[in-house]
Amino acid sequence: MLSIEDYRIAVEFLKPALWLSLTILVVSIWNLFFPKLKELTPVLSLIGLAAAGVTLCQQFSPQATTLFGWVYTVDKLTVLFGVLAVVVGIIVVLMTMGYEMHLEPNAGEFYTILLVATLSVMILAGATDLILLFVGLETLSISSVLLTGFSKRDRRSNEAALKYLLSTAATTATLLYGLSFLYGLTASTSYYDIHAKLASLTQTPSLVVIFLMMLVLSAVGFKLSAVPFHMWTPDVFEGAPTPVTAFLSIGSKAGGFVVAIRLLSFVFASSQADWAVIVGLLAMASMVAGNLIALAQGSFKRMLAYSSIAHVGYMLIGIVANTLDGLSAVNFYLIVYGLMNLGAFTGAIMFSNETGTDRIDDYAGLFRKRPWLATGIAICLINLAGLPIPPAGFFAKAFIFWSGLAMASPLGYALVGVALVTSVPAIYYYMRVAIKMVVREPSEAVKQLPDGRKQMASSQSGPIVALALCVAGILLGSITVNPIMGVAREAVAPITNPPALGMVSPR
Amino acid sequence: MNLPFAPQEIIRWAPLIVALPFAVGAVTILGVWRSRTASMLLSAGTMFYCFLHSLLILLALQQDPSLGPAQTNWDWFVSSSFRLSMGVLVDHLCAVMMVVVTTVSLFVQIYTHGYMREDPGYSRFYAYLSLFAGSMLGLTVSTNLFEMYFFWELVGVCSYFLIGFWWQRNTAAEAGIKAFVVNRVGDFGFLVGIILFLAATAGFWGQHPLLIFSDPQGFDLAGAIRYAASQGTLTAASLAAISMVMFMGPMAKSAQLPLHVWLADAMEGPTPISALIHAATMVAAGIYLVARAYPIWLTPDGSTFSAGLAFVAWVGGVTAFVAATIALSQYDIKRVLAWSTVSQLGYMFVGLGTGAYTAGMFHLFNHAFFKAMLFLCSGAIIHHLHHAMHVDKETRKKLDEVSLMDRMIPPDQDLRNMGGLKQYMPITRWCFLVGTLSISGFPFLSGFFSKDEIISSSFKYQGPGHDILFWLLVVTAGLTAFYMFRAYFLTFHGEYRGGGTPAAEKLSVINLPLIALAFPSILSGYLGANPEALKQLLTGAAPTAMANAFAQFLYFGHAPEYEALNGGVMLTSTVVSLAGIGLAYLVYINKLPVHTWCQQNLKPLYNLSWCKWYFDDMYMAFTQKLALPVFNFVWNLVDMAVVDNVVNLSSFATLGTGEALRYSENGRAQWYALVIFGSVAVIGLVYFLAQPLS
Repeated sequence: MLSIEDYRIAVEFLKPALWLSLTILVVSIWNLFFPKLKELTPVLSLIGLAAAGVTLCQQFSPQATTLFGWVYTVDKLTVLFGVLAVVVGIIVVLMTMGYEMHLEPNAGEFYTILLVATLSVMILAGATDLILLFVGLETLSISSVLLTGFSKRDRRSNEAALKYLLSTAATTATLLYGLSFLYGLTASTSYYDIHAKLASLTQTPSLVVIFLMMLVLSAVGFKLSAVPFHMWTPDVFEGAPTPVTAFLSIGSKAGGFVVAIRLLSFVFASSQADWAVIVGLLAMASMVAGNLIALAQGSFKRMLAYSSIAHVGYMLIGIVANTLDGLSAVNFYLIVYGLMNLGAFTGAIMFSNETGTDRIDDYAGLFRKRPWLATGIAICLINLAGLPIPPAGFFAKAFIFWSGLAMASPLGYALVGVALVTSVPAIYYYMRVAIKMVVREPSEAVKQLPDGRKQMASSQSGPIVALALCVAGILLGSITVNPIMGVAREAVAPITNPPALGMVSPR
Repeated sequence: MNLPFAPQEIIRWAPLIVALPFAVGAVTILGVWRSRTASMLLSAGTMFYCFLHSLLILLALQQDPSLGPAQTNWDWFVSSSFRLSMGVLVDHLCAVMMVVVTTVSLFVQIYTHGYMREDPGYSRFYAYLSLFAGSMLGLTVSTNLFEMYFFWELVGVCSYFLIGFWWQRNTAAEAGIKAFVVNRVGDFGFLVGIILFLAATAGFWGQHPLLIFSDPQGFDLAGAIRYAASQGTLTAASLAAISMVMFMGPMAKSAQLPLHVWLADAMEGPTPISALIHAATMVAAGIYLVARAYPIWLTPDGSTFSAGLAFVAWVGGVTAFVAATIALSQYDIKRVLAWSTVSQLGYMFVGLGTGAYTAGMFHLFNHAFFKAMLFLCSGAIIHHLHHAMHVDKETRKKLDEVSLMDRMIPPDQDLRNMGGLKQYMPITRWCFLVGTLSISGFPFLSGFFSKDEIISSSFKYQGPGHDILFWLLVVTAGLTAFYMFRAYFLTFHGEYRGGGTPAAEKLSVINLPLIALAFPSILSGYLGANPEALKQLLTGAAPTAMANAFAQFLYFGHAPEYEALNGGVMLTSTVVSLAGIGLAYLVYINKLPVHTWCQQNLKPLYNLSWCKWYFDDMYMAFTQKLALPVFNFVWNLVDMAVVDNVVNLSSFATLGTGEALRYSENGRAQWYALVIFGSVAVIGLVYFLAQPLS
């Protein structure tokens, strides 16, 4: 039985989630009671997110704590991914501020659902119990479906939401099926117990273990949109409002990755040899398919969205390596990639707000009219391509590749080989946009842009801040590689080197 | 003399000198943008602080030489196999360079207030100036080659922004692109050189900061070279090869042959920029790099008779001569100065290349002051004439026709439109005269001392072709005197040939910096002189080496080396310089028709000079006729044969992976579920069946 004291401690540690929940409540009813102060909704969301972020940072302590017995763990990994979720939330809210006109009259609800999605990523980061994992994943899925279908009068948005809902339902089924097998095998829902019991199982993997791993992987792969569980991405990225696409391409992926790290590296640690091959295959398929599809896109947003599949492939290399270096490289990659991807999406929103188009050809010559915007987008793109100036994106890729090479196995070499080869088209399609913006003669859309700085309507101020934050983050990240890598390393250290069981599991 | 603060404290806070200009630059760009006065005060005030702090560092090191080198390193990235760091290194070389950078920056920033007052981009200009100063000072205090490369690129970026500051003008935008492209070539070599050097010394660094310049325990460049030589991974030949590849960086940045072509075009930038970046500081970064990483250019056992240094000396010598001949015939006052900068940078490389480390740096030190002042003078003239020529449109049109005819020289920069300005602009005239005398090597002005040291060291030099190198420098000294006095006479003497009437010059924020810089232009040479040595020379006693303040402060290796004065060399170069001045007087004051005679009878030679030895034409021909077509051909090939096919292929991939199904609106969403279930089943089963095989 849990004592009152246990609950007090739990509340203490759940403060960030509680702050966010409170914000969700306030934001959801704000428009109802103060319709005249509607424009304060995003500001309130930002305040709530910031409060959650600050309280999260205070929890970055070396001592891991499990709450409610074993259900929720607060360790450095939880905090890191929680902060990541909050930062993504903040930037997406900022860019939505410039997108509100597409969401009227329900913009208030949009922020509410976005905050719920952020909260679910935070919960997923600390979930160490199958039930909580399921609840978290479902919350994330359902809020993502709602966000996807938010442009109610847009048929594509509706269709995307429906398709997303149906595929989500399919993976929910596979996940639940897998979880029930797990429970059947181990008679527990706690990660810690399952980890210990699976380790004591027979060494040669049975069909059951492989299948239950596949079932669980399908749900994780679905969140990561790793090939072949990526079928929903074309519809959703096309139909969903742009901020939602941005959130799905990084926020929900962060949730997927933390689940993958905890499940694969910890719970299934004993059958690492088996899942490594399967995840490796998914990684290669994602790198190849993601880059090839992105190469063929004529729309900037869709190119970004598809290339996110390829980036998932790169990050999975670190998971396959499953070493301290590999997992910390995944964390570093996620941090940097999150910033540069969100930055590029913000740039896309600002551009299409002004011009109403999103074709890559229309970005030509943007530097002449909007030097700052073009510079910001270009910095994000150069980093996405992994070029060494500024070096954050380059370092992220290099760390992943090193960890793959350090495996010193055929799988590792194959993964890094595929990654290197597929990076070439990636450099091509990212740099194509950057070069177009700077070198080419302005396109018709750009020519029609008004001169000077007067055009900066107030609705653009949110995206401007978001873009500035992303670029500043990338530049700062390029300088402070070592501290970030230190945090990334500390966050996964207990996973690769788990503490003695008696210490964490009160049972 | 007592310093106001403890010397250790002064050195401990040195990082501020780099951090503050960056902070101010960022603040100016972001916030104070609208307030011109605030931008100016913040920027110039910070630079004043940096100037004082640098001076204090110099004095602290002067009083207690054991304080340097002092360094702090912060880890940038640490892995199990290496440690990359960024840091601040304060030593004697750095202190001298910091004083140069901050002094010139300070005066240029003050001058800018007058020069750019009417420009709408006034605040932006100050922001760039601060960012540039921060980058340049960062380069100066770099502790390792990687950090230096980082700041090297950063000063480059600032420079392109500033060259293209008036980017609405096509020529300015083109000049910015030219500088960018040429510097890419050089920086590529620099980076390859760093990587080659790293590869050759890979086993040495361990957990010590990588490629660090100096370290008390010997884990620095020199130690790495000794280690690699003892391991056999580095021979004298391979080190020389590495140094030559790496020298492409300095070649581009310090505008040495054959990567010198961008500097004259960079004069499209506002004149304060020409004074700060393209005369005194950034272009000296190449010299600073060679001086800083000197062990790389030496032989592995530390001797100065290396192929690497011989290469440096010859590139410098040839550049000095070629640039001087080009300057003979130019009409744009700023370009004459630009070519003279290229030429003088060549002298500095000869100094370093012939092993006269101190002399090379000493010339950098002196040159920075008088060349910055000369540029600021030219700016003052341009500014003045710009207003004078604005007066009436008719004359302006006529002037435009003359000047724009051949070279697109703006009429207010054209020497043919000047003349007689000494009566309108007396302050500028005297300052310009001081600078001209100094650069010509007129006895007892600053340029005389350092140039003489370099020429004597080339005389003593025992490397390949030493006689030719020496005479090349002597002839160049004469040419320098001639073309500088040509510019001086054409500008200030004779009749005024431009339109309008120039106003009388008043003491203002434009010419105060000139006066201030005139003092070091006259006096800074005495830091490297010893009156005793002169006495010896005059009394005819056998010359012995005498200590001097500059060499005592700054030297490479274990003990300062002093040069004995060589009366013969000094006399030769002085006489040649005076002859150059005399000839200029005859041609431009006494109207000896040498100019037309040259144009008629020495047509090929004249054209060689006028067309800048056809380097631009060669490069243009190379890019237009060869490089671009080949590039286009390859690009089209790649685009058509590879990318298109890959795109086609990827459309198959998209067909196969679901993009074909997007908004199909035919209710085939069950296909999605099928793929998910199917993949789980198939992958799981295949993997299970494949198990026994693996």
